[in-house]
Amino acid sequence: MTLNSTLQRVSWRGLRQRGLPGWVGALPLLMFLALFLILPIAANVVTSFWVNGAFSFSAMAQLLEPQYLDAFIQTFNLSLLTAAVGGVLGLLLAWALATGRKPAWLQNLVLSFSAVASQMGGVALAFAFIATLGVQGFATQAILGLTGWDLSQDIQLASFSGLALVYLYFQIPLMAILMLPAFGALKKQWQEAANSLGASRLRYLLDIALPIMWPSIAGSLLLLFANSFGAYATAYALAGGRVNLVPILIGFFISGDVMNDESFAAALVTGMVVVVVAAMGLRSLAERKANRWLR
Amino acid sequence: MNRDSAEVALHGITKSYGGKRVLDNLDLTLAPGELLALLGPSGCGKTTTLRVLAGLETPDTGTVSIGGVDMTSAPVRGRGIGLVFQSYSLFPHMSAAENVAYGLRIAGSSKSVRTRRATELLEMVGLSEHAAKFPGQLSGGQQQRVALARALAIEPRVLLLDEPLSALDAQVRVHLREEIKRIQVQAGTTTLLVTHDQEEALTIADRVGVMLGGQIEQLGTPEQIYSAPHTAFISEFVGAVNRIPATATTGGVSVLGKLLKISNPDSAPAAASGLEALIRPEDLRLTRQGDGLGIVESMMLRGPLTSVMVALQGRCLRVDLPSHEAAEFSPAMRVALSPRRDAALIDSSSTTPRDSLPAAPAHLLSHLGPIA
Amino acid sequence: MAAIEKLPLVSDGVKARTQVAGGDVVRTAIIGLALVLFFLPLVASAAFGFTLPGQGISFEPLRDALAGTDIATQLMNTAKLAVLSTIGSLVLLVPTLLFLHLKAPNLLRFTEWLSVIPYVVPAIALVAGANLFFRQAAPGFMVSLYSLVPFYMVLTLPLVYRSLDAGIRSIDLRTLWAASESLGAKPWQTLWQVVLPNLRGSLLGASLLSCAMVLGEYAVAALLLHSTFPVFMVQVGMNQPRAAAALSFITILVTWLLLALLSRDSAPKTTSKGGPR
Ligand SMILES: Nc1ncnc2c1ncn2[C@@H]1O[C@H](COP(=O)(O)OP(=O)(O)O)[C@@H](O)[C@H]1O
Ligand SMILES: [Mg+2]
Repeated sequence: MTLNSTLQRVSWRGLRQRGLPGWVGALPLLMFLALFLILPIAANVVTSFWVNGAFSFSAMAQLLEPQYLDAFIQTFNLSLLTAAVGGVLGLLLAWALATGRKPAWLQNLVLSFSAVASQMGGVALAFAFIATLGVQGFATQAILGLTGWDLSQDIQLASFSGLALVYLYFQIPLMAILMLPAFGALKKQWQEAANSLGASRLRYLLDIALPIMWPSIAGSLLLLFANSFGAYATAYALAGGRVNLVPILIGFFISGDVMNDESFAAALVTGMVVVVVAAMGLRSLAERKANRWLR
Repeated sequence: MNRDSAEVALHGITKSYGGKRVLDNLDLTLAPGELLALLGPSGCGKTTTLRVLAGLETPDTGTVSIGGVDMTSAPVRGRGIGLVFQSYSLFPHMSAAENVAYGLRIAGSSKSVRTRRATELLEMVGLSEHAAKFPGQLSGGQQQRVALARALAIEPRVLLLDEPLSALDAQVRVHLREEIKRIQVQAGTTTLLVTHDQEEALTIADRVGVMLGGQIEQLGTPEQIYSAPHTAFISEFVGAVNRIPATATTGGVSVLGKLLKISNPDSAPAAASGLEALIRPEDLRLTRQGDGLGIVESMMLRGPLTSVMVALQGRCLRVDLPSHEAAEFSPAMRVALSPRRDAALIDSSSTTPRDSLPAAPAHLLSHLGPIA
Repeated sequence: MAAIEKLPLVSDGVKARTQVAGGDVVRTAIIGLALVLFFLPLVASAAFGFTLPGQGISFEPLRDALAGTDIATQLMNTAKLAVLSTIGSLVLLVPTLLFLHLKAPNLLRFTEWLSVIPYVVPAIALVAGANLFFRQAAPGFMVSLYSLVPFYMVLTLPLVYRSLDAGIRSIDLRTLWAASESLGAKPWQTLWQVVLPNLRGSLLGASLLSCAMVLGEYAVAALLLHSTFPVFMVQVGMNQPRAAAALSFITILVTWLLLALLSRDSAPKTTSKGGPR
C-alpha cells in the first residue's frame, strides 16, 4: 500500500516536472494519419498481394496484361510529355517573372493566376477547355469564322494529345511557381563574376546557372510528373473512358463499372503508388542537394 | 608574379538612373600598379563608378580606357578585370579550388596549369588546406580570400574591389585589409578599392579619392586627405573634427585667441560672422590654467591616445593627447585650449555643433569609466 | 557640398531605360503571352456559358440546367465540407503544432515529414484504399456525406501544415510564451490573447487554401458517391456544356478570389502540389 502510493507520487512528480512527454503532442496527428491515410493505403497494398485468401503475385502480374500495361505506358507518356513541355515552358515563364524589369501589374496578375491555375480543381478546368476548344467552343468558332479551319477536328480534347494540352494549363504555372524561389536565389554577382572571368552568357548558363539550378529543376519536373500521373478529375471530365489511363481505370473499378476483382483493382492502385512514390523519392533526393547550395 | 599592370582612366563619365544623376562628369586616373581607394558616404556613386569601369554599366557620356585602349563599349569579359564583391560572389557548387580555377578554365588552360595556379593562389591567400571545401563550408573572411584569389587567377590588368570587407567582423576586417595590401603590392596590379570606411581607405591606399554627389571632391595621398582636406565635408568624413567658433580678421581668422590662416580660401564662406574653424582633436593644445575658459568634462582612453572632452562656451570639444600626457588632467579641471597649427579649414557655422564629433563608443566607456 | 544640390537632368532617364529594354521586351512578351493563354479558357467559358448562338448574352443555359435540380443542396454540401474540413484541420493542427514547438521541437522534423505523405499519394489512390479499408472496417461510415471530411483534411494537410508551421516559426513562439507567462498570464490566456491573435494571418491563409481545395475536389466525392458541387458540375456537363462552362467560370473566379485574399495577407509562399484533379 505504502509502496504503491509512493510509486504513484513519484510518477506524478515525474509527470509534473517534465510535463507530458513530447511525443504525446504528435499522437493525434499520427493517429489521424494512420487511420485515414496509412491504413487505407496499407490495406490496399496488402489486398493487391492477397488473392483468394492467400499471398500471391497473380494480381500484380495481371498488370502486365496488354490492356493494363498500355494504361501504364499511356499514363507514363502523358506525364512525361506534360512534365517535359510544361517544365520547359514553366521555366521560361519563371525566368520572365523572376528577372528583369517589367510592368508590375502584369507581373502580379500572372503570378496570382499561376497560383490559381496550379491549384484549381480539374473539373472547372475541363469544362473551361470544352468551352474554348470544343466543337462549339469559343476559340473553335472564332477560328472557323476567320479561316474556315475547324480545329476541333484536329485537336480532340478527349484524346491523348487533347489531354496533354489541357494538363499543360496547370503544369506550366505549377512549374513556374515551383521554380521562382530558385531563380530568386541566383545571385546577380555570380553572373557578373563569371563575366569578369571571361565567361559569355552561354558559358555562364552552362557552367553556373544550370548546375546550380539543376536539382530544383529536376525536383520540380518529378513533381509535375507525379502530379500528372495521379490526375483524375480533368481526364475523367474530358475524356471519360475514351482514354486508357491508370487513374481512369482505377475510377472504373471503384465505382463498380467493370468486373469486381478487388485484388486486381488494388494492384492497379499499388502500381500507381509505386510509380508516384518513386518519383517523389527522387525528388526529395534532388531537393536535399538543392538545399545545400540555395540558401 | 609578373603582369602588365595598366593605367586606368575615366574621363567625363556621366550616368543617370531614371532622371537621377548618379555620376556627374567624373574624371579619375589610376597610375599603373597603384591602389586607389574611392571613399564616400553610401549612395554617392562609388559602386557605380566601379561598375562603369568594369563594364557592368554603360556610361551616358564619357570614356573608359584601360592601358591606353578605349574600352568604353567593350564587354565585361574583354576588359581583363578582376572583380571582388561585398559577399556571395563565389560559385556555390564549386570548391574553393574550382572557383579559383574557373577563369583559367574559360581561357582554355590545361588542367595541370589550372591546378597548379589555383594551388599557388590559395597558398598566397593562406587557404591551401581549404582547397576542396565548398563556399558554404567557409567563413565570410575565407570566402573573400577565395574571391580575391579567383579574381587574381586570370592575372587581371585591373583589380576592382567593391567593399570587400564590409560584411566581415571588425577583427577579420582589419587583418584582411592588411593582407589585401600585401597581395596587391606583391602582384603589382592596378587596384580600385571602393569603401565607405575611412580608416580602411587611409591605411591601405596609395591614393584616396573622396566622392560626394557623383564627383570626386578631393584626390590625394592619405596624408593629404587627412591633414589638408579641401572641404569641411572631407574633413568631417575622414576623421573626428572639432567645430570651433572663429571670427574673420584681416589676413585670416581668429580662433581661441590665435590668428590662423584660412587653408581653404576658395571654398570658405565670405561672411564675417557665423564662422567655424575645423580642427582635429590632436591639433588642439591643452594646458592647465586656473582661469581657463574650458572645463574638463570627461576622459576616455583609446589605447595610446586619450580623448579629453572639454566644455567650452557651450560646446563640447575633443582633444586627443598621448595617454601619458593626459594623466595630468582630470574631470572638472579648468583648462585653456589653443590650436597647434597655423592654418585651419573654415566653414559657416552648422546648427548642431555636437554632431560633428563621433559618438563615444559606449562599450568602451562602460568598460573603462572616465579616467580620473 | 555644392555637388549635392545639383539638379538631376530629366532627359537622361530615357536613355537609361531604353538600354535595359532588350531583355525586358522578351520577358514582357513571354508574360503577356502567358496571360493571354491563361485567360483564353476563362474568357471562353464566360462567353460560351453566358451566351446562346444568335441571342447574345443569356443566362438561359444556366437557368435551364439548374431548373429542377437541387443545386442548392450540392452547393450547401460543398460549403459544409469546406467549413468542416477547415475547422477540423485547424483543430487538429494548431494545438499539435503549438505543443510541439513549445515542448518537443525535435519532433517537428518527423511531423513535417508525415505531413508531406499526402503529397505523395494521389487522391484517386486514397479513395481506392479508403473504399477498401472502411467497407470492411466500418461499413456504415462511408454512407454519410461527412465521411469526406477526414479525407479532405488529409488531402489539404501538406498545404495547411506548411502555412501554419511557417506562421508559428515567424512569431518566435517560445519567447512570446515565456514573456506572457512571466507577466502572470495563464496558459489559456496566453493562447487566446497572445498567440492566436499573432497567428491570425497564417490561420486565415491556411483556411483559404483549405477552402479553395475543397471547392474543386472531385475524385474523392464522386467515387465515394457523394454529391458535391464539382460532382454536380460533371453531371450537368454531360449534356449541357454551356451551363457547365458558366459554372466553371464562377468556380475559377471564386478560387481566384480566395487565393487573392491569401496573397494579400502575405501568407508564406505556397510551394505546392497541384490541386485535386
Ligand atoms: N540600377 C540602379 N537603378 C537605379 N538607381 C540606382 C541603380 N544603381 C544605383 N542607383 C542609385 O545610384 C546612387 C549611387 O549608387 P551607388 O553607386 O551604389 O552608391 P555607393 O556605392 O556609393 O553607395 C544611389 O542613390 C542608388 O540608389
Ligand atoms: Mg556601393
